[in-house]
Amino acid sequence: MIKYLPQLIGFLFIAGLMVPLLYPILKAKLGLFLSLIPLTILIVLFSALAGLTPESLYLLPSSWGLLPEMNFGFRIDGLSLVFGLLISGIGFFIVLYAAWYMSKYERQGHFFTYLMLFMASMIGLVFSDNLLVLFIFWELTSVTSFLLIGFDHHLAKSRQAALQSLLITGLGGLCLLFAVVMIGQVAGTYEISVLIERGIHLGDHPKYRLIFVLLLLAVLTKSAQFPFHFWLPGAMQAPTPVSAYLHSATMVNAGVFLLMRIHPVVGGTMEWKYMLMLTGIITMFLGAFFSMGQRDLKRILAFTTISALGTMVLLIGIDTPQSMKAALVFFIVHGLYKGGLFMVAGIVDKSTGTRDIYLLSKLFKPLPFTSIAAVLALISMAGLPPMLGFIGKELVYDAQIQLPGMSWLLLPLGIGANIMMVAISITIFTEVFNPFGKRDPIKVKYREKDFPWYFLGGPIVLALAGLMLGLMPGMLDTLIANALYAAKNQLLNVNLSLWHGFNDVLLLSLFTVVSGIVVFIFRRSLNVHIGRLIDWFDKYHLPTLFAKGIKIYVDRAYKRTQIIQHGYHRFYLLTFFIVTGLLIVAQVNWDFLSVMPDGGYTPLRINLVLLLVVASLAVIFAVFSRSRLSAILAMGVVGYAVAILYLMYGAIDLAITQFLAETVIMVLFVMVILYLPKFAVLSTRNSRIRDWIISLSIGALVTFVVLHARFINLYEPISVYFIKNSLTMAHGRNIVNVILVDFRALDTLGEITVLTLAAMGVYSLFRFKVKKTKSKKEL
Amino acid sequence: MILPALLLIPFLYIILAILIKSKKVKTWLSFAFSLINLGFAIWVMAQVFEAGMIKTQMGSWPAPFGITLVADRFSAFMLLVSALVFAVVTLYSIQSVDTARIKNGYFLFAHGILMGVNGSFLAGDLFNLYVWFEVMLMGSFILISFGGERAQLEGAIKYLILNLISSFFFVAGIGILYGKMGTLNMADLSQKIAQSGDVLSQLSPAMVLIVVGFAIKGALFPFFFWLPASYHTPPPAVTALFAGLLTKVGIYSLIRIYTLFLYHSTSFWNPVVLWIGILSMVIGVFSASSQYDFRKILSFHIISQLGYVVIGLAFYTVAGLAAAIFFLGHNMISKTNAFLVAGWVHRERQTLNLKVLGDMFKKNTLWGVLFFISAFSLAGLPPLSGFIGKYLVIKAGIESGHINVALVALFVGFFTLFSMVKIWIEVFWKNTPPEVEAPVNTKPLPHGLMISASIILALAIVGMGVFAGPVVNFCEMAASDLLNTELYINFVLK
Repeated sequence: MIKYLPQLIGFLFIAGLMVPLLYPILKAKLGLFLSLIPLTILIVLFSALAGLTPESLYLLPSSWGLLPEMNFGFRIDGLSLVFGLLISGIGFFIVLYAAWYMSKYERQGHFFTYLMLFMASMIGLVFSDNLLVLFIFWELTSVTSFLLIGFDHHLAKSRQAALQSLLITGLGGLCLLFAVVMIGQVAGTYEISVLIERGIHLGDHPKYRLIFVLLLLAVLTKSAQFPFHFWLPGAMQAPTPVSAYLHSATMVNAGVFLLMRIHPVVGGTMEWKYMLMLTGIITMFLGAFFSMGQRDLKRILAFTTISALGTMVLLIGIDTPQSMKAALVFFIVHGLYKGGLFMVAGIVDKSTGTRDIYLLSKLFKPLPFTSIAAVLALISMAGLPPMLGFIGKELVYDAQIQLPGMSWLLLPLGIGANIMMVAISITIFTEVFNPFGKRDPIKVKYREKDFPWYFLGGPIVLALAGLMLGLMPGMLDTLIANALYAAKNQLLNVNLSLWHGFNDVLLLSLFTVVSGIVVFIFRRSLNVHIGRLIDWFDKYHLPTLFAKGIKIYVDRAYKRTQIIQHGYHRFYLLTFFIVTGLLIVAQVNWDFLSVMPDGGYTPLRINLVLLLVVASLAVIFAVFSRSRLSAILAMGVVGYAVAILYLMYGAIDLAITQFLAETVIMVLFVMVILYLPKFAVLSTRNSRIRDWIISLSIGALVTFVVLHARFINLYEPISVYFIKNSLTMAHGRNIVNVILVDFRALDTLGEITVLTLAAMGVYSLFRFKVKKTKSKKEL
Repeated sequence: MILPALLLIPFLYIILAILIKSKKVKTWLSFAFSLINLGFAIWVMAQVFEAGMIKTQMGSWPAPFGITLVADRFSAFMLLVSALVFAVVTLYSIQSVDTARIKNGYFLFAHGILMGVNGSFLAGDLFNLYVWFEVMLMGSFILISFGGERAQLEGAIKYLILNLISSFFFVAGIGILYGKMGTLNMADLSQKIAQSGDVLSQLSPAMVLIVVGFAIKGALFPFFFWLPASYHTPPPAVTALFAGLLTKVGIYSLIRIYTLFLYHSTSFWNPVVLWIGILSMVIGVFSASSQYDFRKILSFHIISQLGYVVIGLAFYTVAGLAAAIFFLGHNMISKTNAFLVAGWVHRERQTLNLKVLGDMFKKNTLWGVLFFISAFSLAGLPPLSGFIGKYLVIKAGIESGHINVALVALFVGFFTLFSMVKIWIEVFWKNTPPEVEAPVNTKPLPHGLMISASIILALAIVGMGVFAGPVVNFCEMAASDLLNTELYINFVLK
């Protein structure tokens, strides 16, 4: 059954694109209908679990792709299954949840299009066996999440958040593309299965650092790691189903997935360990810390997600078998409780109209089932038994303790982060759900019975799944072992259980819980200090800085553009001539003797001299003339002089053409000039001197180059052939004529067209009056 | 014998358009001719696909003496894409361009451009290429200036003069080259240059003049000024046509002479071309992101994207040239389509200032989707054509050892994304600012033909991305033909 997975992913894409057609038919049932697709995928993935052994790998090669090297081959192993199950499972509940949550929205259809495309990209990402295809899906998640985050695009905040997330994840995407192409270049393949099979590891390659830094940037941006974490809290501008999905199983977890996926190829080096541990622990601590000072339920959860992602990155950085196992379990734990909690936040929001935890209170009564689900999820988040979160946290501690040398840094910060998590969990419970609280119960608009089952089902099922896995963690053993085999490329025995006996880890857990309760009790005075710290941090508020950065960039770019595209025609011309002159000077052969022909110059003819004098006078007149019209007429004289020159050498046809062209061009010029302002001498003395120097040197250069060319005939010119064959083969005595109408007739056709167009253009320009009224508005 | 047909079709239309008075007949005849042209372009492509190259010796004069029309794979590719763009823009213009302009020969001049473009892609003769440049320039100058509003004329004069300088340089270069080599046929020139050896350096002034001429036409740094100065002034359909065709001819010619002449002195030309490419990319994108006019952003982006093509050329490997060719095709389609959407926005709101626009996604979702596809293709996001183009350029850069250049291209892509998203957010997502008077006529203007035109190009963008395999394969063959100069020389001369 699993072999239909690519078709199912394709179906998901198509379903997303078909939504505009389905929506008018299904209306409010659209969400329910669409939820069947992730459900099917979930079932198919479950079926793959049946025959799973720690080493099993199922490849679905494909010959189709955008390019031969981008073939859409899929691989099903433990790692992709862990992610795929969560993405499709939580996705199923999210779609159901959204079916009711979004029912009041005007553009529901758009929403489901984006959501389906996003889900399809995410599933494609985790199952693809080709790094380039993985990148394609990666970029698609960025684009679709951009559309989802900016869904309420009439709000400036949403637009800002969407832009921020797209730019940051887009930057990471570019880095990923580059890294992938470099890996393909170095390793000779983009196929993950081939890379692993051949045991390619790039650790010793001279380009390793570059590849690693680019990959790291991709992961840090996508997974909202410090210092790129700030886009994630902004992203909660999205409708709640989206936040729930982005945070729990998708988007931000893609970075974590990539780390595990690529680990066999680039992992395990010193750079890998230290960079990931460093960013991981900082992010873990900061995320938890910032969540303490928030009031908005969604915002609190957003910061705890950052902390959780930091934990996973840290664990992957520690890079022991134990830590990898911990990272995987933690991913499952986090996905289950975070998905549930966000959906709870949405339910609370719908029911009361607010998400401020200090306004909410005693929600247990109106929302009993939701509250139970929330409590279970909070227990998991705090890492208490019997939830799966407890096992996750135990593994984290274990991994941190086992690390030689670095535990002095990682343990305190890690424990600190967990203490805050415990405190936060308790805070949320007491403020929002506790039925025995001191504050008055908040007024509710909707009670639980007002909501349909599919709106409430998600959090409850996810919480129960967390509980069940906590009680029977053995169910995960094979899956995790297989995932570890994929990520670490080595076989490990995985044995998950709630009770590990009395040891250091358990003591640390106890210490964490006790400290968490203490922090909770003193939270009010603590929050004052934290609030002060956060205020201080707000001076360096990253989203603001980001917006400011963009503004500075745009302003700078604007000023630069004003310098380059300044609008002064004369300087454009200046640039052209100077650059061309410099390029020629850099290349020309400065041998003045070569200008002299072997047989000396031919003697001058008197009429030629006269013509030259007239032309030169016309040029000088044009330069000094104070009227545009007379300057153009003077230039016309030069043109006619050239025509006469042709005449003198017997090229009558050419001369006529020149006369005609000159005339038409002059008319066109005059027409344009009518609309220019009055002529005035604006240039200063200095600029005139500069112009003189430049034009004279360009003139001299051109003269030199032309003289240079005239007297070196390297090969017999083709005109010899024309002379020889004009009469015999083309039957014409006037060679110029024959060239024009026979040898090179096509050129003449082209020139005729130019003339025709010019004539028609002049005609149209005269007939087609300029609209003056409209132009004022444009300016 | 089908090559001259590509010149005769637009020529015939020009003649007919002069003779026929009825506006309606002229209009639909124009569309019909653009389709016939497309049909012939497909035919040429089919023949080239089989044979690799086809040629016609005009007037049956043997090769270096008469004028040769040649179509190799590169030409055929450019012919096909430009024919598609032309047909689509013609369809779009029927509805988008005002009656006065159509009456005064809008389609006539457009066909003038087409004739010039077709001729340039086919010319096997340097002077003939110049002639086609002139045809193109004349047609485009009239289109950009006529019916002029004031700003338009100011842009037009800059356009005309700076482009005339280009022609002047080009023809001067041809003159010098002919003085030395005594021939104009490009294959013959290439052969003779290859034989010249030690006197090669004497040709360089001519080469500089020709390259600068093409660089001006191709709007490359530091010769691009005419483009941002003029492209935002004429009716949007004209801009779309220009964006799709004009600069590309300059770049096409640059690639052509680089592979025929300049590759002999790579020590000079390679760094020059590489830096021109890098600076065009960077400066184009920086300037684009600072603008607040829909069309100005897109115009500056043309410069930036042509930079990608030029660095692909500078890598000078099969992969690099293939990337350049693919990128050219992609850019012609995506950029034109972006301008087509701009034309619709302009029609609805009579302005393209991002600061006062808004709500366009609400107004018409399909146009929004069409812009989204074009813009994100330009920004290089998968699975659209722009992604393949970007990937090919970056891959070629890495493979040929230009890792730093490839990194620059990568980050230029980032800023491209920024400015495309800026348009998307400001025009399509944002609400119209309250201080702006909301447009009174809420009844949408008819745009059936316009949107069909845009849909065709959008499908082409998606198609070039999703089914890129055969296209890239073809571009690679075209590139290896280009690198094999002997092949071209032998084919034309023998």
